[in-house]
Amino acid sequence: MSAGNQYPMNQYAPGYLQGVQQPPPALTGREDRPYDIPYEPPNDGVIPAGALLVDFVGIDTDADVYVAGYYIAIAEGQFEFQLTDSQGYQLTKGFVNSNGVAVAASDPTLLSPAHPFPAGGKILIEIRDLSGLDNKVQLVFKAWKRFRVKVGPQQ
Amino acid sequence: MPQLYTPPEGFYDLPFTWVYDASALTDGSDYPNQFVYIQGGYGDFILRRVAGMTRVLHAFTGVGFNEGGRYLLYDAQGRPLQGGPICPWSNNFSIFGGIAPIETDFGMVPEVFYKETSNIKFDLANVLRDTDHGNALSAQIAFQGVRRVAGTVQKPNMKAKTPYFGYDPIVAAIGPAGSVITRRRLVTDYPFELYNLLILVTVPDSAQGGGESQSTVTIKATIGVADYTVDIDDNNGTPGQVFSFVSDPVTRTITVRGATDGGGSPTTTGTELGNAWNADAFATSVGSITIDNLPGLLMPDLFQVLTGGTLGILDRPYAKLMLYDQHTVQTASAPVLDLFMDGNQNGVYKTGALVPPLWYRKDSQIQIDFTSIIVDPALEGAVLQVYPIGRQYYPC
Repeated sequence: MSAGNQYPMNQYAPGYLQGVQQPPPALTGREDRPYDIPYEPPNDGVIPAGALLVDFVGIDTDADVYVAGYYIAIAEGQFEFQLTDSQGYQLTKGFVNSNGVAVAASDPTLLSPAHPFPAGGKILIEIRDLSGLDNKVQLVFKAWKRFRVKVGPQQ
Repeated sequence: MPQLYTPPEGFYDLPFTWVYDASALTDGSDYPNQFVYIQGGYGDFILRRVAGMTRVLHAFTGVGFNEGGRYLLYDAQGRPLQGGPICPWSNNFSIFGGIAPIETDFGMVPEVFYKETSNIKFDLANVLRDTDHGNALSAQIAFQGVRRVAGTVQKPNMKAKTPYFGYDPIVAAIGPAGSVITRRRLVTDYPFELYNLLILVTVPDSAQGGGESQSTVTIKATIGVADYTVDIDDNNGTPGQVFSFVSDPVTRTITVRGATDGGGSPTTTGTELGNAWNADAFATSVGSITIDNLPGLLMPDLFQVLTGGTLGILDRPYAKLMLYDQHTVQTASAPVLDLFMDGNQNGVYKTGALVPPLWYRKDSQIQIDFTSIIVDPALEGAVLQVYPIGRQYYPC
């Protein structure tokens, strides 16, 4: 890489606009590509009033997914949820209240470090309505897919 | 300290935005298979930010009302970048903690590579252009990132101190929709690297009155004038009155009284008011008058203090901007909505950064073309002020 063409840091820019440097795939054997995953409960995306749903989002089989954050795109009322990965690892002890979750796509709630979900696995979601009314929800996971790439000499 | 981004060997990046104009779409319809073509000659494009989906798609307003618009993005090979369609608005429903729908952009992490002559493909479902102010001309999606060009970045390798510097604003009074104004700021004294743009607006104050069978009168204050009072009364019910138009520069008042017939019915028309206003030196210096239905009768009454407008936050769109680099090469495929380029932390999108920053050598110019999208006559004459912020290079 030519250091002469390196960007200066622009502190006014959000991190995604500044550019996230990826090492060459031919060296590392992997390539990350953005892949957002929306989740809507069954029944047309509605949590029945007061109900607890146990649901999941399936991960495609073509690549592992790394979830770096999430935000609420649609909500009609307060709710809470808990995430569990394919191996039974719960990302939080207890439920997360929706009031503590980001509501802007430009500034999602972060998972640091990004949490891996293997290809063909699931994001298990337990989600409960707290509003006392039918509650339409869309939760979006900001993520990337990690594709395996053949490792070889850099061209 | 995060690792600074470095393009591949033999290439350098320039900030660039590919624009999709959605103003001609039909509200309520779906538009699958849309695309923006990465034209040859501009280099490969690396997408990092998408702004404007909320200016093109419907907000969720409740089950049984409107389920909200959705978008789906694809990479250059046509593979989806999402597991399913996503609603671009954030937390749409106000009963949820009292939070109103949020207009927002989003980032692509890490980034998405589009080869030159490929397409940025996407689907749109349930279109609504400019939800908040109903101006379809502001319906635009901006795909922001960098274009990758072969060669070496054209910036001298000089030893310099680089303090923060902000130029005085580039100012433009925005006319009716479609009008274009070009403004330039000369880079004086030292080379300048542009990091961010901050945009403020002064909106002219206005008063309006009228009703059925009457003239609709709109009085718009001239930007920058001191406060003045407009007092109009048609004298309805008082017989035998004569039309009068009196302006007083000392008290800064404009007093209009309508004529009436023997029965006390108003007889003054909008034409008479307009003629009197345009013939008065003080009135024309502090404002302009627009009258629809000229033969219509004068409105019953209007009493309002008008201000010359105050410099405020850009909270709605007025124009689309085309920023040029030091070689007057454009930094977007088409003018970009002013909201998307405003880095004011109090603004709507809060992102006006140029990545990488744009270099302007000494005695070059920062040029911006302003293309108006104002369709409301009351907003014509609004003044945009664009502040270039960055660093000066003091050789040492």
